[in-house]
Amino acid sequence: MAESLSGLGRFTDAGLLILTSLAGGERHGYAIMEDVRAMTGIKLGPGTLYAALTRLNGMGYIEAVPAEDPRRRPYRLTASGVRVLEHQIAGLQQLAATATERLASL
Amino acid sequence: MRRLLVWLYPPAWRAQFAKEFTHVLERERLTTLMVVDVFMGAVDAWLTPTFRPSLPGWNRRTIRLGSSLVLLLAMLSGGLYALQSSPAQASPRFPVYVAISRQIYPAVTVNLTNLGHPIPHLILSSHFGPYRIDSVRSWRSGRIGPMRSITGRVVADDGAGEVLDLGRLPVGASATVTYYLSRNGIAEFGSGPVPYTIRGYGSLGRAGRPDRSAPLTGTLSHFGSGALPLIRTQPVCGGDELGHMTLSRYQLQGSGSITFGPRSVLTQTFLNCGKPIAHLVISVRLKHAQTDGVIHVHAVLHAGTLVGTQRPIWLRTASTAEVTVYDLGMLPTAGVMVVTAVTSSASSGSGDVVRVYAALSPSGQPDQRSLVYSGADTWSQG
Repeated sequence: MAESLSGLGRFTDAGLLILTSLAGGERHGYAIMEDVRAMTGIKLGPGTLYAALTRLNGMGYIEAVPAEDPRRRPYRLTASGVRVLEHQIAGLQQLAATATERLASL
Repeated sequence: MRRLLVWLYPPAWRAQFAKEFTHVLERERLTTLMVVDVFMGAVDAWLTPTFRPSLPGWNRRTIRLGSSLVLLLAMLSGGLYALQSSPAQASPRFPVYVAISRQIYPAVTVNLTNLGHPIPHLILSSHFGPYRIDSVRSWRSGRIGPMRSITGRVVADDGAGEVLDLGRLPVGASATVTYYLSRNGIAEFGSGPVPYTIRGYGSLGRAGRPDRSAPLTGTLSHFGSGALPLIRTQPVCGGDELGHMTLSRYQLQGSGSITFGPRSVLTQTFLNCGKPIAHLVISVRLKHAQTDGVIHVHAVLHAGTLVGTQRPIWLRTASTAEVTVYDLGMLPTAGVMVVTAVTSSASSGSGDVVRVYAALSPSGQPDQRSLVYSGADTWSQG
């Protein structure tokens, strides 16, 4: 069964951004926020960031990495996190292809 | 306030995330939007079964009632915070193109070109290690052409040196700030590297202080301690960021400015949006200028690499000693070149004639057919 982000509810978009950020390597909360801002210009609020983080963590898509400094605890993708990201990206690519095709016919 | 925000979350959530969450909050500016966002996150955490307290009598209805109260508190607090602070807005970031001259002690020039969106207040906080800032001059121009003076206004001292509010900087406009420095009361020319700490902000915050949530940025990160010079971001062709100097086969964008003082400092920025230029040649004729007739080019920055420093690279100096021609070398497509020229003595003047060529003739003279720009600019001493 393919994993999905539907369990994230209104945090689906934030969850996808976080997974994309972590695909680039382990990052702690603030680093994720900055990376998302640099990638997309979107500023995730701290409340939104951690609501999505806790959900992704609970769903097993990401996991915390033990760190000496608990204030900078990094997170990383799990195997199922990689799969769900691949699944989401495939869906977006399909959507983009459809949109492109339809725009071309206008 | 930030610790209070953390305490809105359920104990089980705090036990797991409080330290890192506090770390994030401490690095973000407290805004109404942020407060509301955190409150919403707290509501969400209370509604999450994993973090919900397992106390007797805590049922779903109780939780929802509590969450509603938290949300109401959020709205009230957000409104209260909005009343206390400046209008809520997302932290703006202002991408700029920056060039900093090198070793032109006692004058250090910072040239900024706005590549983003309108900057309400261009604010620079500057400190130069053991050197004292004797005076500051600033100029602004949107392109090579008439330049007008703006007045630096000291807003506040944030502990890192002098803070200047240079006023509004529209998109595409450039501002040049020249700091005249001395050490131990001596303004010696040609000393070693000048350490610096420069921070830039794009708007004013409360109490007329720099808005620290609105840094001048881009990919540049040199607004901190470092060694001169640096170019950390490049303008992009296709926009109208810099003034256009276009003639026939060449497409060159550029902006320039001049500051007066114990030594006048001329800064020119070129961006090649056309085909490669083998020799970028500029010819400068100062009108009514009171100098000893020599302009020294002290730093030529080419796409971030210093290609000339501390020595003149002029091709020839005309017999009248008023026209000076410089061969600045090759400028590839999308290449950036920043030229900082300093007069060898105090000067005053009322104008200049600048011509820019893109090639040399076989005899070593500027190829008249490759003229890219020709302008008679007027300026007056600030």
